Amino acid sequence: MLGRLTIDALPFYSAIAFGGALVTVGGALAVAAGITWFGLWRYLWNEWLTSVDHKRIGIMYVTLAMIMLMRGFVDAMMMRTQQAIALNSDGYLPPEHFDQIFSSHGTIMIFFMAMPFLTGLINIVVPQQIGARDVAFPFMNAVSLWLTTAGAGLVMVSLVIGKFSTAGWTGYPPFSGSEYSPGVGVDYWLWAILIGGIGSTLTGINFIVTIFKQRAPGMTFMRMPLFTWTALCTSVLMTFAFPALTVVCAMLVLDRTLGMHFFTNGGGGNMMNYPNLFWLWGHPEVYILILPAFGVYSEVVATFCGKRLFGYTSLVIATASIAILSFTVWLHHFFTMGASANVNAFFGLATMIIAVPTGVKVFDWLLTMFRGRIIFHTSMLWTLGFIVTFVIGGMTGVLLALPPADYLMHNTTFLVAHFHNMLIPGALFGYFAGYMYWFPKAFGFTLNERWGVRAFWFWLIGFYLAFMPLYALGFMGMPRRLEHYNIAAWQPYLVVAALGALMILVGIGFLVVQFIVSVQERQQALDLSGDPWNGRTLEWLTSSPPAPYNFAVLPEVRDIDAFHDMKAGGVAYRRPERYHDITMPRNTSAGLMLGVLAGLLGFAMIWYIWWMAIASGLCMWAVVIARVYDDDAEYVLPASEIEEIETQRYQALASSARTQTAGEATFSNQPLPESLT
Amino acid sequence: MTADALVAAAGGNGDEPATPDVYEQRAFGFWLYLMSDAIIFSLLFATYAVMARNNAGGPTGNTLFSLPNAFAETMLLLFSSITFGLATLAMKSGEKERMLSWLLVTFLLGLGFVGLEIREFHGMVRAGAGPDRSGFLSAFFTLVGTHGLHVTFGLIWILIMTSQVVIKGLTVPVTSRFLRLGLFWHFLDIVWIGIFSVVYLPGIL
Amino acid sequence: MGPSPEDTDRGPRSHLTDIGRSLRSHLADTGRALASHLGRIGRELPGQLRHIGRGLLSLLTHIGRGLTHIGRGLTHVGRGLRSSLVGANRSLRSYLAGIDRDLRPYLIGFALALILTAIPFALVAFKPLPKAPTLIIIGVAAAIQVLVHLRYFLHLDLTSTPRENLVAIVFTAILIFLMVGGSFWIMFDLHSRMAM
Repeated sequence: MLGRLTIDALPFYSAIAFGGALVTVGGALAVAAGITWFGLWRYLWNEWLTSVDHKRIGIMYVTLAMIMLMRGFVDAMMMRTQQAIALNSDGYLPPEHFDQIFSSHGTIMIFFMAMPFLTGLINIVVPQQIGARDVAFPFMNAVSLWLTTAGAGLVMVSLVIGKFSTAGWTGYPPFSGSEYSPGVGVDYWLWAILIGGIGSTLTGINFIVTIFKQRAPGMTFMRMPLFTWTALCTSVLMTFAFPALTVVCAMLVLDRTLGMHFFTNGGGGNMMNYPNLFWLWGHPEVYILILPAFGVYSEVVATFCGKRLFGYTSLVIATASIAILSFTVWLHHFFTMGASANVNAFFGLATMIIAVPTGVKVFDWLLTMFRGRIIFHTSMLWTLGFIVTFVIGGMTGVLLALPPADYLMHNTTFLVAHFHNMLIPGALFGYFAGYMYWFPKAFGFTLNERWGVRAFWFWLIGFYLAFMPLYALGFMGMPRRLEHYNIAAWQPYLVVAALGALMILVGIGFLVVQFIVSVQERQQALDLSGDPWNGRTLEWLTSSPPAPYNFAVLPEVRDIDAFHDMKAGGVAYRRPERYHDITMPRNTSAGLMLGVLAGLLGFAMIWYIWWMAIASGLCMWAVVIARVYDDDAEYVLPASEIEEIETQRYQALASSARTQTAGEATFSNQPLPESLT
Repeated sequence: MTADALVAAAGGNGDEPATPDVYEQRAFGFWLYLMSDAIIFSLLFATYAVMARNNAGGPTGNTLFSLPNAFAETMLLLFSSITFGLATLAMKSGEKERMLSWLLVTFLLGLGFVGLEIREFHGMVRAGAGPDRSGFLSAFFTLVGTHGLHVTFGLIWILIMTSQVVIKGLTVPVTSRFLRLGLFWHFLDIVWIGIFSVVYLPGIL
Repeated sequence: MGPSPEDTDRGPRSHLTDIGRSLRSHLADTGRALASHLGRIGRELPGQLRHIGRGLLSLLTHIGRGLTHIGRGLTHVGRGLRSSLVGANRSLRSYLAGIDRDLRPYLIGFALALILTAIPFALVAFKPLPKAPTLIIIGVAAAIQVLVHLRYFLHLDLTSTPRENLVAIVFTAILIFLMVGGSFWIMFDLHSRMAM
């Protein structure tokens, strides 16, 4: 009836596991109780859960990311404290639990924190930046959101029912096969990322079509903002890399569930094919994570230096090169698997080459700052912190790109330090910068600067303390994923690392405080003009938050930095003579239903509840087919209503006292003469 | 200078969209989906090629594959591509009845294909050569089975299309959806060329 | 003995008959020559050798002449085939011209696909060639047939297809080459190192 699900699945075997389950269930209940108390269910359902509006979907993505950041960080804190105390001792975490924690930490941070965060930013910003009203496929956009949420949900459920994988976030067989991991853990991992991965593939397709087909008149490819360019390349990577993950995870599911022999020890299995296929996805994935952050940095630097970006063309070419080259380096994740020198050398060379375009971008950003008048908004602080710290991590990457060197450092904490150096100052700081930069656009009021700055410093210093010791430890020979150790020389470094994690915890706390304080003080920080930073790109033309249709009249683009160009020409805020009806997509619960059903399907497949798997699969089909027959998927927003909305917008605009930030218009802040750019 | 003159002076470009044509977008989006599907199949092919010799002492393609069966499946699928094309032509000239007739023929040919494949798989499993017998067979069943699953989804889509044409007639949404089904159906025939060229023929040799 | 080289174009079949006749007559000549020479060998030994020598020489000459006639016959066949193809092409074109212009690509594609399917299947069914060339021909035929499908069924061409679709398929092809090619290189390299 319930497959292999029994009462033993509940976490009564360990106090820590029970605690985790309690927090999860308690948290969910608290949220539900809060919504009920404030009578917000109807509002939530109508305005958010059934929405197909890219702005709302984007906000929900970022919300999911923030929640999962907390969960993933708890994992990190637990690991750091365990390693700090576990010299010649068992610490407080048994090995099997520790293994689950490092597996869920990686899985959550990559699939359910970073991916939703960047997808959310892309969702909120890109349609506005290209002067469009929505993405090409709004319903599919909602489906992507809810599939990702279903995947995250499965990982959270694994805290309460059953256990999670102990095979790391990469799940290498044969350890992740049914012979050595017979429980449900690896299955939770597999189904969570399979379902989430479909969501990402669909997002990639959605945004390629959107960017190709929905740009405003006059916006050629070479007039698109840099964030849109990076979003395009990210979408290409999503569309073409995630199929590899789907294939490899499906094969492992077949091995585990149907006893096939793709990766088994005997029976003709070839386990070396797993890292090959996994990293065919995995390497483009890390570029999916970093490119949107690069896009954010480009926008932030241009805006807060008051200058056009230096070397627009080189930035575009660098971004496209990174995207294409990312498909040529994947073997560097398994240099030590034993390929011959020629193979290793080729991929090592390719890995070194791919560092070059990133270097070009860093120089372009620095040259944009040169002779600009820098405004140290928190987003700019995240950017500066990124530039310094990321370059260090990049250099360690070039070091690791040498196969002989990698033989010494593979799977040590040196590697752990390297990729966290890429992901935290690289990707996460970029997402934070984007979050703070575009927060007013999404919500209509700016975030509190003071708490933002504090959060930044604790994150930056915390990062250095947490990860620089790991480089040293890697050189000293410490492997990764160690639950306890007996080399006393390592402990001081691990204690410093734990302190760094504590600082980051404070940084996260400050981010939460920043949000609460900003909400409380929002009336004093309203963004009435829609353009709080004197921005250069089209998203700042809309109101904050924008109308459902973004632009009542599609803007006409004449140059790079289209909005800046419009402001300079005095045509930015012209009202049209008359408004026209706009056709908008209707809200629908079908996306949410597909997500819920996908989650149930995953759960059923994990626990071998076959009737439930078949039922949820059929129901998903039914929802899709019903949607195909739905003729009522759109509604017309009449011109009169649009006129009302726009009139309000212009009233707010007139009353906005957008002060010129100091030094904005002075001579020294003018861009370099054309001959020098 | 007016905005229009500026746009014109900037050189009206071929790659800026006028009004976003919804059906063009759907066609392009579906094409991209097919490209991602092509990646999936190519990786399944690559895995098959890597594992083609891993028969773990069990049966090989030589003993399992039937040339006449593979040829029959190939002909069924190829003919179904033609009949689908004939249905498309009928649709373009607005002849609903002829379109539905050719669509029915396509459905039957596709059903025949799936039937033959199920019979083949069933026979292999009964002879102890199921996907759990060896790595080679796992790769075979997954590659050919994934293709067969896609064809099955295509058959369901044909049924949906039929009902939509009957209920709504040849409206623009219906015809554009039908053209996407055509892309899907022809794509599957292309994948089948790969399957008989990489799996069946070399396996029998 | 055989057909004169100035024979006018009378179609493939008559040329084949000519070749057949030519072959038959030369085989008959050769047979007769051989028989008479063998007979003389039985009668006169010293002179036999001379006769054998002479016989061999004339045998070779007859074979040579026979081959020349075959060669000329084949040229006739060749010319006949070419004119047949020209004629067939003309009649095919006029046939196709009579057919709906939209149907044409499907028929052409269908015919090509059938041929490109029949060749590999026949090669495997009757195994006239060794394994390696067979596999190569299967691969080439498959590649060509894929292009045929893309061109004639999916109507993919360099003029009417939207540019972004072409970019997408070229990009996909490049990626498939990198992914599959790279995987092959890696996996077979690992395999060879495992076998050492």
